[in-house]
Amino acid sequence: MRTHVVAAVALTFAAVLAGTGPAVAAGRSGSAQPSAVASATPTPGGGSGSGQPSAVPTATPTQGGGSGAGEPSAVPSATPSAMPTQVGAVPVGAPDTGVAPVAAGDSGDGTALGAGLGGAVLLAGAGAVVLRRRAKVRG
Amino acid sequence: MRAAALTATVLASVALTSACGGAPAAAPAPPAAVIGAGSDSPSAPSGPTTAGAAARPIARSTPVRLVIPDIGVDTPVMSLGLASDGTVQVPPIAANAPAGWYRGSPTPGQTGPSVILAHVTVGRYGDGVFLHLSRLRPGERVTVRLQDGASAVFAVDRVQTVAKAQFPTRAVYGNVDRPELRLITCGGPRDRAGGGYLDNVVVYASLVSTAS
Repeated sequence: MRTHVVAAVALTFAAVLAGTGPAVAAGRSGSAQPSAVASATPTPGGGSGSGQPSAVPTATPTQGGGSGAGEPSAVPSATPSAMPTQVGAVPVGAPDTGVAPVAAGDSGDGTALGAGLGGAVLLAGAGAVVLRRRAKVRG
Repeated sequence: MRAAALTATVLASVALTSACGGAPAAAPAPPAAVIGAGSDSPSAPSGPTTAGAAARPIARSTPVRLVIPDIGVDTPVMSLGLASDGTVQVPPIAANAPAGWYRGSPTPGQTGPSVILAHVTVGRYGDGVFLHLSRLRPGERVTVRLQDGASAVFAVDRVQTVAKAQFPTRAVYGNVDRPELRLITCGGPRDRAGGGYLDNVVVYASLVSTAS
């Protein structure tokens, strides 16, 4: 019978130790970036990749698309090099304008609280086992 | 006695389960959406605004404040440049982080796309200035106050939610034939691993009136 009690107590301590593990691991640094401005994350295919101003969109006339080969196209030819770009340097990629909010379940405090409650329940259960055993022996 | 030991074992299992929380799953990614008229073509005019004829351009002056009554925005505006990797800088990750105007773009009220960015959320600091940017609807007003005392009032043409991997660079930064405004933030679902947003929300607006 003592073996059972010892096993229950050992299990209790093991559970408490296991419960405190995630609490320590969840203690992420979470430090804010101190710099005044943060850079965006470049996105593949999101921009021109050169950092240079994008050319004015070219209205590319179709060649050979119709039967009238050699006829002047109805679409006026674009002159991208003649028109200055209004945005001096087109940024690359997509702006990274959002840091996900910290959810309550992600906080180390919540994990530590859960581990503490679990440990308390286990200790209470182990104590009940011991008291019941003693009462049975005396009775 | 065996029953008591079994009870303790069950309690231990329950406690372990409560102490080990699972990571929240990200919501499924919705498709990109556009609200309002217009197209993604690079510098195609956004079409007639819901507010009527466009106003005339005004003198160059840097923006100092942004007001969007319909979504409760009233914030200072800082100046942003390019990062070393060619991406656009964004406002700091800090409490009450302001909006930022990309100084490589025209100032609001000048011909061209003026670009203003702000965060949707700011991590442990909570909500960002553009938390409700995606709620804007065509016709709603955006006012930019400039350093010289003038104000430029824009009307929303359309609101686009698009995957970051397909960011409409040319539609946002490409030439236009009138004063326009781009408001940009993050949105959509979040990445399962890092928790970052997968989409951008882009508001396209055009100048409807000015005041000095």
